[in-house]
Amino acid sequence: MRVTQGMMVKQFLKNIGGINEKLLEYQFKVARGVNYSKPSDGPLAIGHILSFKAQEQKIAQYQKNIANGLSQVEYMDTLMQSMITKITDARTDMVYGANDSLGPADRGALALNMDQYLQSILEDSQSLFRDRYIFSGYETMTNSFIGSNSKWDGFLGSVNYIGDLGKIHRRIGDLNRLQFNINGKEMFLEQTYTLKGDYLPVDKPMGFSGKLTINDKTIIVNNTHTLEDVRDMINDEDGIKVMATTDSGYLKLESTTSSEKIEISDNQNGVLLDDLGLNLRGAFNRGITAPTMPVIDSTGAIFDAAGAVANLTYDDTNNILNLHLGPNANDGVAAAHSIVIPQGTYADAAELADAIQNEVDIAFGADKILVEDIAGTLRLSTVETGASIGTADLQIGGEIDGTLDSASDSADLNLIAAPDPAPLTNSGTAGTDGTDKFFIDINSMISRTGENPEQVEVDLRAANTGTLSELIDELNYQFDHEVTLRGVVRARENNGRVLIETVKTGHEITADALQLTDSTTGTLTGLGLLEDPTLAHIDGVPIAAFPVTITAGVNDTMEIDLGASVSYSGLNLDPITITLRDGAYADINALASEINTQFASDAELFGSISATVEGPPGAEYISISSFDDGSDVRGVDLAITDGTALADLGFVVGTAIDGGGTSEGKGIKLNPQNIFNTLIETRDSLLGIAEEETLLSGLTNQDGEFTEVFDGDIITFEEEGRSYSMVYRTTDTLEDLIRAYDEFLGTKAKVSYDRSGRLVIENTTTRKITGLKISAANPDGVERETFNSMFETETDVLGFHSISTDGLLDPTRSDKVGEEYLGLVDLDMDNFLQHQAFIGATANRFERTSTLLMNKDFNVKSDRADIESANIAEVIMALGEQEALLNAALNVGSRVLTMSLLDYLR
Amino acid sequence: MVSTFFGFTISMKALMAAQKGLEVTAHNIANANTPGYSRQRPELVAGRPIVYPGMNRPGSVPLQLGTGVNVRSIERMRDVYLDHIIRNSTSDSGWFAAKETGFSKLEVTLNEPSESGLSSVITELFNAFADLSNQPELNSERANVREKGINLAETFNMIDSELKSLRADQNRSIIMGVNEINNILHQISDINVQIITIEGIGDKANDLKDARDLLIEQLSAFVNIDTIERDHGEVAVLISGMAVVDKEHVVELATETKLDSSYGNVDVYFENGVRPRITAGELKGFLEMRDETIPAYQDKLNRCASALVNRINHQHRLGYGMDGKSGRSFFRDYNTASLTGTIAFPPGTTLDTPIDELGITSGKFYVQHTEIEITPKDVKPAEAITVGELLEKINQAQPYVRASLVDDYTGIRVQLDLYNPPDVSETIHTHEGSSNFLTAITGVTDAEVVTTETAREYTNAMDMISISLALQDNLDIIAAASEDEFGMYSGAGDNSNALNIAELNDSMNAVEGSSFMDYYNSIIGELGSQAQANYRLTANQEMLLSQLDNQRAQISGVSIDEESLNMIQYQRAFEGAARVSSTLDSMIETIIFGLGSG
Repeated sequence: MRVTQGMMVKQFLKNIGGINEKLLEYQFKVARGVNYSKPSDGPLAIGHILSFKAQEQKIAQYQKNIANGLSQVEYMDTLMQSMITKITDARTDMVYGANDSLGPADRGALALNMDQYLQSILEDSQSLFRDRYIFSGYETMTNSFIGSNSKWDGFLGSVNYIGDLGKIHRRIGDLNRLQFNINGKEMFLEQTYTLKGDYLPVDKPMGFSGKLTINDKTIIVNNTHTLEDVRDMINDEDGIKVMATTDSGYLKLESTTSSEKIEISDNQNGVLLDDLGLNLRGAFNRGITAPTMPVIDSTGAIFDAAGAVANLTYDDTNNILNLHLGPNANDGVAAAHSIVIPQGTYADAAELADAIQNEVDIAFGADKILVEDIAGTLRLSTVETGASIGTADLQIGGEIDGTLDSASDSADLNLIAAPDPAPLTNSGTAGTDGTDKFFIDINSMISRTGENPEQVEVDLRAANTGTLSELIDELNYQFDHEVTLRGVVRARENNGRVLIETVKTGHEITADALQLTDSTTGTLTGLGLLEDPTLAHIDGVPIAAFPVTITAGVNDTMEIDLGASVSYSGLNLDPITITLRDGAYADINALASEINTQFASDAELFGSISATVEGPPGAEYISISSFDDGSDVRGVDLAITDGTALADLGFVVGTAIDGGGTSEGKGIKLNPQNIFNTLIETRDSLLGIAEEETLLSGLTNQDGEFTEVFDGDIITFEEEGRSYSMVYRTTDTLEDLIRAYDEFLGTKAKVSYDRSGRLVIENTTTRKITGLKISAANPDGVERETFNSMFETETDVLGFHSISTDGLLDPTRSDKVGEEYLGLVDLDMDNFLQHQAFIGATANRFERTSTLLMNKDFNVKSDRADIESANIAEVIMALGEQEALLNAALNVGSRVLTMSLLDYLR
Repeated sequence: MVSTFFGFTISMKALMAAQKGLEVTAHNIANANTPGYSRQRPELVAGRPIVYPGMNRPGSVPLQLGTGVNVRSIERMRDVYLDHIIRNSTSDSGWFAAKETGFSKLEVTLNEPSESGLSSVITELFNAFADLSNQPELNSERANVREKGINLAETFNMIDSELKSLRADQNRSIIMGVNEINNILHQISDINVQIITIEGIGDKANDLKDARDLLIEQLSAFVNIDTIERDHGEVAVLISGMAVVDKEHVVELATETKLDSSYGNVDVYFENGVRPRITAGELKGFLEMRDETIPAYQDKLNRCASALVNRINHQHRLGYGMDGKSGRSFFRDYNTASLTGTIAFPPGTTLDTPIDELGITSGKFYVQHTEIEITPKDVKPAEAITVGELLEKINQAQPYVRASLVDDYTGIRVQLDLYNPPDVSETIHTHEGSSNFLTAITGVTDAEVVTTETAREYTNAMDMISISLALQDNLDIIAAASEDEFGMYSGAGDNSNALNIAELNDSMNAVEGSSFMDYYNSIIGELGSQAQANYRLTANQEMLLSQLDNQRAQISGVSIDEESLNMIQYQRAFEGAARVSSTLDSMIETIIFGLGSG
């Protein structure tokens, strides 16, 4: 091989270069401590390193999350321990307070203690952790609980939870979250407000319509909606703060924030709410708004209620309806449209109303004008309601240019331009002869005293009963002037009928809470009311001989026709035929049982009617009656015609007895119950703070003088020409006074105690009271100055809006601590301990996970180090090796390269 | 009998030959380090012998008399086959070396493993959401999330611009390479002319050929070439079959901006318009880097960026900000295409309308090649799903197309909007399978809508990613909270959506069927292997080339020792010839002076 100098130089350089490259690499490894600096250094290894690194970052984040959660959990644990100690102390005091022998001074001292515990626990519950309220659910920026001022200066009145049920989680692993917060509602056992409706078929059209307002949100219900639709509409409404369910066969509204009550109203004076079973009187303190809306009713039935005049056909010329909608009812803009009612055949008024509604919606937009079928007559009304709306806001007829004529184009619809009150039916004959009397018997469920009072005779006065509304006024006047009935029973108009109902509502109240019995023959009939029983039912007669033999095709069928008021579906369906099974039935119970079996086989009958055995032994008969016992139930709602079987069952064809006349109340409110309110009630019980049930006659002023007002006195409110009177009974309470004041103001009054312990009545609507005079007079009309002077009336002072008493206290009400409070505190305590256990478990879980993560982190880190970290010893060894190589290479190179033949040529 | 002085002639020739030999040696030594220089060797031949034609030749002894030495030529020591192999290797070496630069820049751009690479930045954003979940009320945490979001966006933006400028670098290198090639071609043609002149008169153009071969070797580093040596020693150079140099003729390479390129990318042509097939050389390396390697990484990273935008935005839009509002994106959405149904639904149709009422039947259809099925249960009367639920099915099935119901004066229609696709030139594809849904809304079974005009302002996902404009001014927009059971904002302490977003990092189906991290790691892994393979190829090629270089040096290289020996040799030869001359001279002196006057 021929070797040139150039080759040797190149080779030498290459060798040195290779060694230098290695030296550079080792130098880097030693300096950075890692094996790889860029992906190409080790593609596989880099992939592992990156994924290990990502895992480490995740673990670090989980540890951070855990540390964050754990510190809060530990803080919560401390707080809960502190609260439990306080509750334990409070309970000890309460046990002591349950002692009969305590004097007022001891009780006062205990009451102060209660308040101290209360304040202290409240402070704990409002604790902040890192600037966040920890017992508020998701509402961490708002205080968990708010206390309202008490009637007593410096005392808390009630405490409500205003957070939510939010569950806050910490991320403690891949797809692994741990809930660690407790919301105040769970911890303090706070309940929400609930409003329950009546049992209704949930998936069948309800057949009524109207506008429902829940917490300022509007729900439009039409007659094709089912209860489920209403539920969904409510739930779909943003910001309504109410959750609706129908799981148990009735509409149930539950407030989503426990501090806020549900406000609910309709635009039909409560009728729609009644229909939904959501009678709110008594259930909620606020919300019934009397709608003022223009209404145009047809002057007569287009179709009668039974649909007898059917198939009304419209021709070309009489199908135009001119409507004017005023600005108040149409977002500030007046609108006028000519509605063409589609030609066609309409089976009933509802169908016609739908057709018109459709056209109206197209012309004016949805939810502007409501077209309804009211028992065969048409009604047009605006959806918008309010004080500013007048009859001019809905007008009918004539030219679109605004000139009205009263009834030309719309003659077929019997609509007239000037709205009149709805036609009255069943106005009755009572009251004209001065001898109309009937008995009302209420039971303990609704009475004010909680006892079962004697039945009360109501004696209607002569005259004043020309119209239904006057009759109702008279009934209410009588109820108001009867201690047992005032605030217990009310009369009102319902679809042209008198409706007498209880004020108190609740599912525990059944029909027998309010029973009417005729006193003077014919009074109830005259009022359109009916005596008991309240069900639609048909009685048979005793059957002479058993066994009764039923034979197929001979005597085995009957046809049952249910009215809308009693049927399960709420619809007036075609008659249903049932067929009894063949056989010889040994006794009347066997027969009744067979009938019920057949009822049960039909979805419509099952849940609508049942057969029972009635009558004295030996003269028993079968009675078929509806389950529904509402005020609108009539005998015609249950009709049975013979297929073939009736006579054998003891029924006489055609007998039916009306029910109705009374209405049971519906809806229920659950008061917020929590440890705070338990303590407040205990405190108030110890103190004897006057409540709304306190008798007026029991009130004293600061000097200990009792109010001078006597049974039978007339209390009159006067303000700027208006006046209102109530008859004072010794049994009247503060609440009665407020109620009377409410009637007078036409709004809701608020009663409270001011800082000096004085009774304050506020007009919460106008926030202004001018020239108010409250006076008491004896039945002869002689005014008693004493009562009036109880109030300091301030007039015409800007911004002043209340009247107040000189002061009052009810020392007689101070009482020992009742067992029920002890029970409640025990309940709270149990709950606290449970949650403390939860907190402990959560802390454990955090700690355990943290340990696991630490181990995992160690493993991942060491795995990564195995790959990534340079083994310094190894590198140094290799570095030494390369150094030696470099030395050798340089040495050899220098020798080889410097030698040349030239050196030897001389 | 030859002339008395014939010996002088022989020794003179010997002196001249030795002198020539020494000159060649001097030339060799002088050029021992000249690149491309090939060792030269005087070709010595013995002179033609003289046959004595004399009548007095004794005994007819056959005698031929040598006439000394002649320098026939000066030869260049060169192995043409080796040249060929070296050129090919040089081409390959240039190809890999060009890519090596590109790969090393790619590695620097992606900057992994490090604390500031995308891998860390992505994890940091998800961790920021986790931090937010710990304290969703705090503005500082929200600001941190925003900062990390901006950091992520800017990291993508930076990578995007670096990759683009890297591509532009490649493009510039291509243009410069073509210029250099043309320059070399002209030099070769010049040398060709000179060689033809010299060799035409029978001389050897050794040094010109060396210069030419060096140029050809330089050329081979840029592009794959072939050469053909012609009659007069000139050479024809071919690039993919086209003779770019033939004698004095040159066909230049030219660059022309690609029609469809928005970056000024060029294609390489011959000046006569023919397109060469470039299979090796630096040019090949630059082209490959520009047109294949970098775009592949751009595409992958775009997909990653786009999926991040889509997944995070989708979840973010479901959540609620501090102001109690929802439906807002975290990153800026870019709507690149829309398809509005041509057939309107009946008036009154809403998201709550059951689909069976619209006559939609069960079956399958495809949006963006993703199958969406309407089951028989979905259209069962009274239990049918709603229009809203069907649209949600479309939205859930694939990440890019969002379906909605639009209601304008022309009617109520379904609209499909393409948001944040990895590539803005992506179109909306719909294809009807067994359902009738698409036909019901568009009247046709297959529709394709190309990118809208506005989308062309953008280039791609990495470039477009940025925090939503609203979020830049308002931290409340960050949606840490989910909706409560009533579809409402649930409160400042609700951290569940922040948790949901943080959990996206664990999702195994975030981008192309893997998690963000896995997908990104696979990009890095692929880059690592490709770069590593290329580095190794380059190193191997260099090794081979140096081996070949050694081989060539064995033949063509100048060895100083050898030349020193030659020098001695020629010196001695010269001395010998001179001695012969002086000996002859003394012999003649003897004759002249000794025989004459005595």
